[in-house]
Amino acid sequence: MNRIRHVLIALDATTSGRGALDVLALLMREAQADVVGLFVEDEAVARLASLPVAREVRLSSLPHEDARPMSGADVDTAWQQQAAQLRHVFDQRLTALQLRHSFEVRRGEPVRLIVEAAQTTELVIVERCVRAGVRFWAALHELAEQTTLPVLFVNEPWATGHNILLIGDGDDAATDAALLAAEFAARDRLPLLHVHSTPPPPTLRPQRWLPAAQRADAESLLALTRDANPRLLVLPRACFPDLAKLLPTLLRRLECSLLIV
Amino acid sequence: MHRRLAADEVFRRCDPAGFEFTDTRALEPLLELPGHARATEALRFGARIRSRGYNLYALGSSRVDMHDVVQRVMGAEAAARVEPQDCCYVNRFRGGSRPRAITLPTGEGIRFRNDLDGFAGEIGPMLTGFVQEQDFRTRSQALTDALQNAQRQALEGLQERAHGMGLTMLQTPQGFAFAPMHEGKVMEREAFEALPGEQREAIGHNIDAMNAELIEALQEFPARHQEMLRAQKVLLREAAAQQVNVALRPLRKRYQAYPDVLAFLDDIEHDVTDNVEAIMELSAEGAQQNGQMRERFYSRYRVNLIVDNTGATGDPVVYESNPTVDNLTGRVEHRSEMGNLVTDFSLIRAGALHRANGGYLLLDAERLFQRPFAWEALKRALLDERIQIESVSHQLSIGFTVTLDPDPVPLRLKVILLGSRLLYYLLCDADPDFALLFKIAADFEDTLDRSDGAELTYARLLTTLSRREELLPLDRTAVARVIEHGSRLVADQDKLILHTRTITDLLIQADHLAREATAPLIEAAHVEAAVAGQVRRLDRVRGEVHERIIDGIVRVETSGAVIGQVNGLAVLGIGDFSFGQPARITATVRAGRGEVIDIEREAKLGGNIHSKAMMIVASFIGSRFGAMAALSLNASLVFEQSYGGIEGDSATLAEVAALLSALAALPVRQSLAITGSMDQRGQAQAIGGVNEKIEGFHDICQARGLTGDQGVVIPSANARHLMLRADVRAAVAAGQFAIHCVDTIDDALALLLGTDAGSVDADGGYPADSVNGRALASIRRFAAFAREQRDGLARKEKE
Repeated sequence: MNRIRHVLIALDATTSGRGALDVLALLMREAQADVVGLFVEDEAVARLASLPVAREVRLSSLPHEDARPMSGADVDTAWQQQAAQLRHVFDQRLTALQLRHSFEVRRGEPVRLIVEAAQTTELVIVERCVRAGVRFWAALHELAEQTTLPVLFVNEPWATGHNILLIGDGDDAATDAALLAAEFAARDRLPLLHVHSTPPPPTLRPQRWLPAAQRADAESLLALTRDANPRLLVLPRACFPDLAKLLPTLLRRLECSLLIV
Repeated sequence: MHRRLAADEVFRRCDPAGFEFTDTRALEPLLELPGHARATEALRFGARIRSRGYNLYALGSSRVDMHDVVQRVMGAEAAARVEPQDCCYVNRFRGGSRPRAITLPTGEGIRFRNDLDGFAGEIGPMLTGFVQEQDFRTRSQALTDALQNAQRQALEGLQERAHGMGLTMLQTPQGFAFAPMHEGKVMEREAFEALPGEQREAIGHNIDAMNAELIEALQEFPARHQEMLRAQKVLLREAAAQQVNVALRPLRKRYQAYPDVLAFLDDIEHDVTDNVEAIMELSAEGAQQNGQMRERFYSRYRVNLIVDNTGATGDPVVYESNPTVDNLTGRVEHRSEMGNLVTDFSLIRAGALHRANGGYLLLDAERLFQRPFAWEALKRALLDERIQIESVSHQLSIGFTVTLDPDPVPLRLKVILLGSRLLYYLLCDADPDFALLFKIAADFEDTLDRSDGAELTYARLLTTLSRREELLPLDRTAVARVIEHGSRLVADQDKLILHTRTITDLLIQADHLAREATAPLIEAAHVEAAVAGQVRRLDRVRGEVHERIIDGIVRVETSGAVIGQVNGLAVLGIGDFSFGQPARITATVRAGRGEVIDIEREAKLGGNIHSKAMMIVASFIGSRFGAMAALSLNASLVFEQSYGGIEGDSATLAEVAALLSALAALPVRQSLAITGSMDQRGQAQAIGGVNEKIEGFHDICQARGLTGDQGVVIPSANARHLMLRADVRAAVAAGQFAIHCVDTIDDALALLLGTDAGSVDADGGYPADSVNGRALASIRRFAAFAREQRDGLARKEKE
């Protein structure tokens, strides 16, 4: 992926960084690029911590403890520790990859922070982990709306599924989405499944296809991904005018990673 | 009467001119060794009886020949039948220490192994593939989705309820928290503090309530997750059972005639179902680096084919040259894992009993008895009719490793022990099981009768052996010389040795000499030189012994005459070489109580047979003179300058001659030596080693100079055993050395003492000048002396 020279990796206190760094290592092997690590401290959490009624349910304390009082100092300390740990992992991996890199810690509204930091980049990678059986950071769907950059939501762990699934018409083959999808497939040595909106010729059946009308239906998309079991689902913005409506559901329920181009 | 033998009587020549061939190239080799018809018949008889206990013992003195004949006969019998079975061990999953033994018809074993190799290689990918199929994934995903939906709905429900209370749920660095909202954002502290106290308190209560609900919801998540995992496990097991059943269906059909195989396949089905998670884990992409671990796991479904008779054209004929317990009954090997010795069914190794099962097993009896516990293990297998792999170390309680107790394998074979006659007789006498298990004896001949036809057969035998060893052909003079040497080796003019190893060694050495001389054929001279070389390499001791005699260190007279002293002849054996040694036997007589004292026995140097011979001497003297006079004498006999044990009865004639010489006061000719056994009536009897004895005395006489008066006295029965050396034959032909045959002790006395022994006359006595007459006179003198002694003593007691 020689044409991408600047990458932003967005992390927060719930992430380990492993998934995002695995994907980066896959894409930037033998490449020259600048990578910025952004550790986001959600200002909403800081604001809550300043309130006298702030209580926190710690997952590590379950099932023996009730919610405990929450203070700004506790939150700051937890963020600092997590940021230091992620910075260390980040430095180690990127040094090994011989990529120029920097690591920043910023506090604010997450989407706004990421959009601001991504202004000079060509790809945004956001890592999302599972907590208590539920994948969080679903609120980041706004990110895909507020930037035209490719945004890659990486699930941790990355290496699940058996293919790269691109949903888009044949005309899209020359687009960035198709190129990126092909790049992922080649680098990860996985087959690339291209799902069109028109039925394939009989000679290619039983190839999958998804009518254009169903692209606006999140359940149809989820059923298709369950069927195809991809490692990465690639959705070109051009083919999904209602993407903003789909994303909240997709980010909550999709089992694979998602690339919006 | 004695008879002096002519030169042509002391050796049976083989005339090369009697052969129609010029060399062995013109002869056809033999297809089988001659002279073993009796043993061959016994072997065939034993081989064809299928009943229990009809194992065989081949007894003889040539192991090589026995081995050849037994291999040939058993090979022919085995070729007539094809009943061997393949044998394998497989895992017994729920009784891991007792691997299951399975026997299959020939050729089925390797097919079974290949089938299970295929299964072991395919089951992982097959299950993985099935799990990845849409139907299974949909069912499995449905379980996951159900859980995630439930969890998501629970949390989203909480979020909705929170929104209804003006709260929102946030992710914190370590968990979750509910925050009060104001204008779409988390409330600022200032705004919160500006709220009335009741409102702040209400927000606090709401947050506490939501936290309590959140905790309750989160506490249910692990249990739900476990339930989902259990459901997925059940789903996976059902799928595995279905798939393995499908995979095993063709195998069950193919092996439906073999219950053991079917039981094993049932075991596999259960094991795959029980271990499906492990199989999936090993088959996962990420586990590719664990190839060794995966291979070890799947080896549980493989087959350890320990006996494969594929391609066998008959029953197996197996020779085990090292019959240890392990090599007979098989063994369980171990491998080192993390410093521990471990084992499993795949490390079971076959023994000779497994390989020979259904056929014939050949064992060297002596070697069998030299291996600890081997005889007991063999007997147990034959008596129980099954092969049980046993560890000697565990039998002795000195094993410290985990081992196995494999299923026994049914045994049906014939064992042929090859051993000596002595061992056979010992076993018959000492081990009752032996007679029960080895009912057939195949007794091998050591010699072949030497007729004209046999000489031609022998020539063909030489042809066979020389071609087998890729030696030069023999011309007919060499054949004749080997035949003569063959008679010499068995010391019988009418026999030929049958030990092919001995003959082959001679041929190899003659071939070497012929090739050194660049001769195209082996000739008589090469054979002669080879025989001489064999003797020369071994005769150092003989040279030393003879040198001491010639130097006078050991006294042996070869001229003159001495009373009570006779030249006896002994044979010393050193390894494969034996030679004759003259020895002085002397006798003394004195007044006594009629005892013949054997000094060798008194000194505990005499063997049992020698002692028996001395009793025969005493009995003979008693029977010859006891009716005519009281035997009031004691006689002593000794082998002079003998410092080792004396055994045998071949000096009986010499001892009687020495004793009668002493009694009759008649000197014995020292130019003669005598050998021969004797019965109580004075009849001469044959002895062994006659050629070596004669040659031994001849060598001493020759060293001192042959006078024409010298010679050896032998029993007439030994005349046919004479195959004397060429130089001795030459001396006999020149009249310089004589071989005298005698039938009785009286014949020998006439020769040795130069006086007729004398026969009982009409008066019941012997002629006064005869040996017996003079001896009787001496005995009467001793009796009179003894009587006088007794009378004098009686008078003294009266006085």
